[in-house]
Amino acid sequence: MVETSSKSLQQLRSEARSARRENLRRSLYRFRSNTLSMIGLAILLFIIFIAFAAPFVVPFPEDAGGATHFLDKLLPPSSEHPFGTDKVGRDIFSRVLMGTGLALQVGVTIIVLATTIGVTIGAVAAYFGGAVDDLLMRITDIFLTVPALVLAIAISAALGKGIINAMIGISLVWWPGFARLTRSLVLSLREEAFVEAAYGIGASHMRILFRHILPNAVSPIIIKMTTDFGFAVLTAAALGFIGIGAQPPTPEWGAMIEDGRHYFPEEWWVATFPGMAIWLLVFSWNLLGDGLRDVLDPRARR
Amino acid sequence: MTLRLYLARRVLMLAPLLLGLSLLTFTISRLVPGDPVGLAAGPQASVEIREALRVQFGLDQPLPIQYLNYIRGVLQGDWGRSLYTRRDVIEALGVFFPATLELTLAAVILATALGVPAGVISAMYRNRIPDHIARVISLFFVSFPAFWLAMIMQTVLGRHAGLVPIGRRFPVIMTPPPQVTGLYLVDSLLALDFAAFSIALNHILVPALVLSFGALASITRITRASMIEILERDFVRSARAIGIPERVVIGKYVLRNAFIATLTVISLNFGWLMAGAILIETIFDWPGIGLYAVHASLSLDFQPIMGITIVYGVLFSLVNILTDVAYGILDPRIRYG
Amino acid sequence: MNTKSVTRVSLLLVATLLVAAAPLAAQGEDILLYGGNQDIDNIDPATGENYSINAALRSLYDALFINRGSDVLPHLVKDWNVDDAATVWTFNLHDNAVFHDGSPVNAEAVAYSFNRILDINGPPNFRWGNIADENTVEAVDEYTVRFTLTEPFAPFIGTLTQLFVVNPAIVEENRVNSSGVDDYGKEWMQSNAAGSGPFMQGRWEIGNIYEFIAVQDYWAGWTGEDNLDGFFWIIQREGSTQLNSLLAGETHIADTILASDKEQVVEAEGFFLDESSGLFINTIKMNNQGEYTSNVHVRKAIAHAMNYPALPEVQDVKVTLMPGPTPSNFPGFVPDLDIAVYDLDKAREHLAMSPWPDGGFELDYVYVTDFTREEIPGLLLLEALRELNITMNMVPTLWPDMVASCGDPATGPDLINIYTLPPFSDPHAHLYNQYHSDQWTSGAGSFQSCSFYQNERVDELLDEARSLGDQDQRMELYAEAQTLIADDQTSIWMYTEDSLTAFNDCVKGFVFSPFYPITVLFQDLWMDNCG
Repeated sequence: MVETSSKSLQQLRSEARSARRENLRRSLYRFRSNTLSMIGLAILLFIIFIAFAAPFVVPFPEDAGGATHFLDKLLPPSSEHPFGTDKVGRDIFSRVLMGTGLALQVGVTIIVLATTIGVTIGAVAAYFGGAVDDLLMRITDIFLTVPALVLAIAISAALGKGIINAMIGISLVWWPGFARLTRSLVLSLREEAFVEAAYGIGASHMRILFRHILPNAVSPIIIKMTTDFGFAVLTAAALGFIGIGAQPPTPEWGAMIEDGRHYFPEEWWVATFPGMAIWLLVFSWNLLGDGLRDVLDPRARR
Repeated sequence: MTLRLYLARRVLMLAPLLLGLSLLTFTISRLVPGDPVGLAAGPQASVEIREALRVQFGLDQPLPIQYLNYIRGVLQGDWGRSLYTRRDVIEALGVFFPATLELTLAAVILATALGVPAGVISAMYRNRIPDHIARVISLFFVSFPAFWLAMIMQTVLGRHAGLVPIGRRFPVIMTPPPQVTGLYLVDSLLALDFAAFSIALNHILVPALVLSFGALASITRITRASMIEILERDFVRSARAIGIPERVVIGKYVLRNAFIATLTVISLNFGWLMAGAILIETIFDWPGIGLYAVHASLSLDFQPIMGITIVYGVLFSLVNILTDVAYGILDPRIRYG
Repeated sequence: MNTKSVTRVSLLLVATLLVAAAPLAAQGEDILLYGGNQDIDNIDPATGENYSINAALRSLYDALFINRGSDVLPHLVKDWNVDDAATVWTFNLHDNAVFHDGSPVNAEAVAYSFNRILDINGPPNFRWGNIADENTVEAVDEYTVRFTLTEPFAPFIGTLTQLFVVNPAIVEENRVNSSGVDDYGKEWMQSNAAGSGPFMQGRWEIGNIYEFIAVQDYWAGWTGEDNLDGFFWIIQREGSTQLNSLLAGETHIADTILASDKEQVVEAEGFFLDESSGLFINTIKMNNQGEYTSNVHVRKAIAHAMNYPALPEVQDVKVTLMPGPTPSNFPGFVPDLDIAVYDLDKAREHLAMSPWPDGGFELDYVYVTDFTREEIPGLLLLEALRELNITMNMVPTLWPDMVASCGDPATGPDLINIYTLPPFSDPHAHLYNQYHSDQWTSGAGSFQSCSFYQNERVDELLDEARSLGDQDQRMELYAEAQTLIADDQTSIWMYTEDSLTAFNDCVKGFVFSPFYPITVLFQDLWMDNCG
């Protein structure tokens, strides 16, 4: 079944690896020459910097914790409070900045969890095929069919309160996309010569899947992770907005918008600034993801 | 395989899917810790009143029996009754569904009407200024939290500029067009009532626009990519070479072919937008399923949640099937198999 | 689609954007548009129970008595008498009251309606379930009805504002008896009225709008100078939508206005705001059987840590601080009770007398998810308790979960923020369900009994006061009970909340009633030159 006549498995694999390296080098070059992506990356690095620096630079770090100053409630933006204050007099500027780290963590957690589940299921389904494939894909279809938000609400409600459960809830509805993608990638890679060769020398299933197949499926998965990141952040914010998610006084942006909705439009600043923060974070990821797609999947943009 | 056989197979495959779906939601809804009976019975209800309700809703039965009863009911058209409002679920869905469908359809049409031209322009001016502008604009809009943007547009366009109504589908004191489809835009046209049409359009425009932003970027991107791919095909080159006007080449040859890929993305987006409608409906008081869903979820009202999930499931699957059929019409070379 | 048609489509879109909203109303009829925050999901007097349902029931049906302002006035009833034991109540009815189909509202109809409520045993039956049985009501003659209660119950009149009389013939017509289950007309009555009230049902679009059409020659006549020709209840779940619509002239009344939006109504020309003091009572209940909060000193420490003076400043409604378990505008109010004030030193003193003099424990504070007015007091308490080395967790919870957790002391939260509204004007309606231990010892506590308070003397006093006929004697017993309740610091008594309702100036005839702290008595309103 396997033709290993001319090339050994070692050769095949190293060829694949050097081809990957060459691709990566070219990709990096293309990426650097893509202005919009570089802007996205710059914004994102700035946001990450803020996430780490916030506790040291914001004027009222205690406002992200349990502090209240009710005599200063609902003050409009001023030099002391650049984004104004909220219903119990907390500095919105401090809270928005202190919430940056949380927003990033939420996005990363959701995407990493969803990728782990999705890639595993997709890869196992495609690799083993047959009944396993059928069963796993039917389950995937079921999850794909329900609107993510409805299911996420239900799951978070069932799991109980808290931002961790909200993240788990969203991840549990997010993985099917990754499963579908991984399955199609693995299906095509399974037929490649170096995989066939690995079969030939009797490598274990796990080894073939994780050492030979998945590394070659990384680019599209990374593209999806990046482009999905923004949507994951938006979904988490939506849950916060509906009221399922972080517990007060946690400075979660979606919950802050929900807070501000009661005071909109007269005290417009309460809802406006957290909304702009979400937008900036999502926009930077979308610019980045758009560029990455061009780079890693050259067919997509010519 | 013929189209008819293919359709029959796809529809048959819906059954296990929906069964799995109902099992999933049923499990989740029963995992929820709260006591919906306590809520339904009201604050002062005695133990007896609560027990009576529990029996009335069959919640005293073992879980597997509850599930079987539910499935039997669904098949017989009895989707249960909301514990909280005591309304019949299928009746309520019937009332709310057209509103959501209309909003989602309008958003899909808007997203296509804005996204496809943007994609076409991007492709025609590939890597030049118009291309970059279209790309930044679509990414700009897709990055907004929809509920936030909805809130701001409602206030700015509705209250301050007075350009559009603040919410709802139709003015309260006016009678909506006679119901045929439940979609006011369609019904008003069927009744040849153009005044009603313009009023309904006025109400739906801003919510649909905000909702459509979520799909704009992917539609623009896929249109651009597939346009470019086709522009480089031989038949386009020869068409140009023999002097067929550019307008005809783009309109007749390129767009038609490029639209097949776009169609997939549009149908995928349909599901996304229907889910997104939940938040938009909340802001604009749009009397649709989304509003119903949020309230049911927040009061842990099992029956509506399950009904909603099944409706979404059926709809989503039907859209997928329709998309496949549309492929065949647009591109006769595609076989069903 | 080519580029030209793309342009055409865009132009069309722009053009439609510019079509101004069609002007509303101006039909010559006085149709009031009411922006209500809540759905009216049920109009069966035997099963529906909340503020919006009640507004609809008052409009579609007539009851034996009616609340106008702070009074309880006879409505279907002409006169009545009661025996000394407050057990046998006899009512003479007006003989001109008719249902919408023309049949008379007689003693038979009253008896039928009362028995139907008892039989169905739905939420509204909490008023009568334990004082009445199938032999209670009796039609003595065409227009005389007698109630013989199973035990003395002095505040009976107060409950009769909620005894809405249904048309027996119509209910029987729509009664369904399928597979041995008699639905007593519930299915049909949920969305159809069979009443005699000032309004009839018009367009009924569930979850959206409900139309009420005035009955032209309403048997009781109209109280105002003029009357409405009808009104629409428009569900507007967002406060901002309610306010925007009112100010844009799309509605005439908006309920549940936030204090933070007050200025907008006050500043706008042509609107007025009602902020009469209501009976929405906010309490933070402490679990009297809880691990830490079962200790009275811990409870007192927490009560002294609440920053009461801050509440009127920080809440988005106008609030009046509570002087003890009962608000000063409610019967049974006891002046000069010794209640906790904001004083962290006192709080420390009390904590020092508890088994945990240095704090070091954690408490959960449970409140309704996204309900700002319950979140804010939590934030204030969290900050203060930190000073006492007590960690407080904010636990936003869905309402059904909250209700469920109050079933049993073991699942009861340490601290829970609760709003209550006494269903009628008597201390019994306010105190019994919150502080009598039989409300939760059966294992089925309600959110009102969520402090899991148990004091035998208090139980005795509440039982005795319920069955006495003599009002002065009753009030003495209630005063003694409240002194004990206050000494035990069962709860943190917070404030009563003023409900804010915004009106277009053209709406006339509004009189605030503490019994309808949200919404209005539509039959007393009229309109004067509304656009």
